[in-house]
Amino acid sequence: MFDMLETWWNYEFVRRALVATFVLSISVAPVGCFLVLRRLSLAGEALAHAIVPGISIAFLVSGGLTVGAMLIGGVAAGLAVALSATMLARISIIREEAGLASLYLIALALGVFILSLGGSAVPLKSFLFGKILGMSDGTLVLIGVTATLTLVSFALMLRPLIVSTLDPGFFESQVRRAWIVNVWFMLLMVLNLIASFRALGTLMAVGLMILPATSARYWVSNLTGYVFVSMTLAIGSCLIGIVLSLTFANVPTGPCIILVAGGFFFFSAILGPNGLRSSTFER
Amino acid sequence: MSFQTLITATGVSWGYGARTVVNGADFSLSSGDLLAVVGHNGAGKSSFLKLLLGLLPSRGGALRWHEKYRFGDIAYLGQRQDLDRTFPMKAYDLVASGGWNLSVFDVGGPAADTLHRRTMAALARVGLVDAMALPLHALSGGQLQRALFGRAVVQNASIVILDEPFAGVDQKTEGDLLALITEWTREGKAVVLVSHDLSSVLDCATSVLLLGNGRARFGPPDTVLTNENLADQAYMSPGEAEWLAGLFSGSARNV
Repeated sequence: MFDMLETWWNYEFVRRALVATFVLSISVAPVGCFLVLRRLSLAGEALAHAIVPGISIAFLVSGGLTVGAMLIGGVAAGLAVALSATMLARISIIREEAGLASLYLIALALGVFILSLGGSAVPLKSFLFGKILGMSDGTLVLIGVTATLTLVSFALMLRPLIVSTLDPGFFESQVRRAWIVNVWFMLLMVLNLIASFRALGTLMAVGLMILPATSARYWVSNLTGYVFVSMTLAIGSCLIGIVLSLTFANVPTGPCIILVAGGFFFFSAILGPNGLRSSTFER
Repeated sequence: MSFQTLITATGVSWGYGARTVVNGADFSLSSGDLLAVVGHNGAGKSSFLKLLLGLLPSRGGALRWHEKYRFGDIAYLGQRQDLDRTFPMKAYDLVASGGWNLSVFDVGGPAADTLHRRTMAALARVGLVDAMALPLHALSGGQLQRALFGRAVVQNASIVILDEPFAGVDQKTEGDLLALITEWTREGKAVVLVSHDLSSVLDCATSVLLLGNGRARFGPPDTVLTNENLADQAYMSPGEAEWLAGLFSGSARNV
């Protein structure tokens, strides 16, 4: 077993994958925790698809997935969809979640369409499922910068974020520009989605955010513990997922990681103190 | 402590969307006041609170603040169901959050030991020391309301705004919280309170703002809450109005 690990460690692409997913886990876990607490899990999933047309255009324009182009395209497309959904909810009869669903579907189809225009050289599969075992220098830098920004942001805005999640009415009554927290959090979410897009693809980018966060909720009842357990589960899922996909031939790495996270989820739901065996949340 | 006028309003109107719900209200608020806001559903009670909190602009009239208030200088206790009880947090931290600095770019705030002392004092004052380690989802409705009052104690603002603070709490809690409100007014805080349950409040209210039918009447409880006013503005049947007015004047207090 250890011989095998040592052999793998000698491959650069394995080391890159491990480092990238480790840093990515630390970054996406707190974002995922607040997505779950703010009841935005599905909105996160929608935004993961919403960024695709921006990234497709960036891909065609820059002739490859360069980090800068991906970032600009992804953030622009993500924000456009999120803000349009909010606007639609304000000025029309459609509710925000219905508007978001409509827009992300359009965005995803548009993204794949644009990508197909680029011809057969375009890696649709890596768009959908990511390419965790092919992390470029640029992607590693992107993940590192995202993690740094995310952790610094959380250090600065943790308390406003807690109160705006817990008691939005109170928060708005106490802070002059309460919307800053929501917009900033949304930006962090899109940034983290783009970082994990390269690793897990559009279909599963949110998986590493949401599954550890929902699993950890079954174990912990305080916020600090919640975030740390989520991080640990995310890191564990990546490590085990990568090892499994290297051990068995033809096992794709991204889905493997998410499946391990899914295993943690069911395990937590059944055995965790806040899980199915607890009666605290019986209604 | 010298009690001073904090707000004077002459002919103030407010509303939301295309609708102006209250036209030309005159009222004032001084430190030491307990202002009870009364009115039927949709009479403009919640929008009145938003007006005071600076979340809603007035539509005409003069609303004069005698002191300079910034956001966060007015404590606000909204309706309890707005709070997400599944949030992973203990009662202690909810009370302590009254002392948190909530500005994003400004990480200051009271030192940890000062905040801890203020939090423990507030927990004792609202009678929640025994339950302070419980997570929010494990608190009873009454305990949660005590914790929210505790948060306002830690906040220590000179104006406290309460929206239906006694909805769904037990008798004991209601009595304790009412005593706390009375203490606040004795300390010189101004308390603004919206409540459907008038009987509990009117004994200690110093003034009443009766909203309804697009108008506002303001004054001491016995001059505002007359049969005629209530029947006119509160959509009450004459019988209900009589009962309520009687309740206030003392003749029916033991019913």
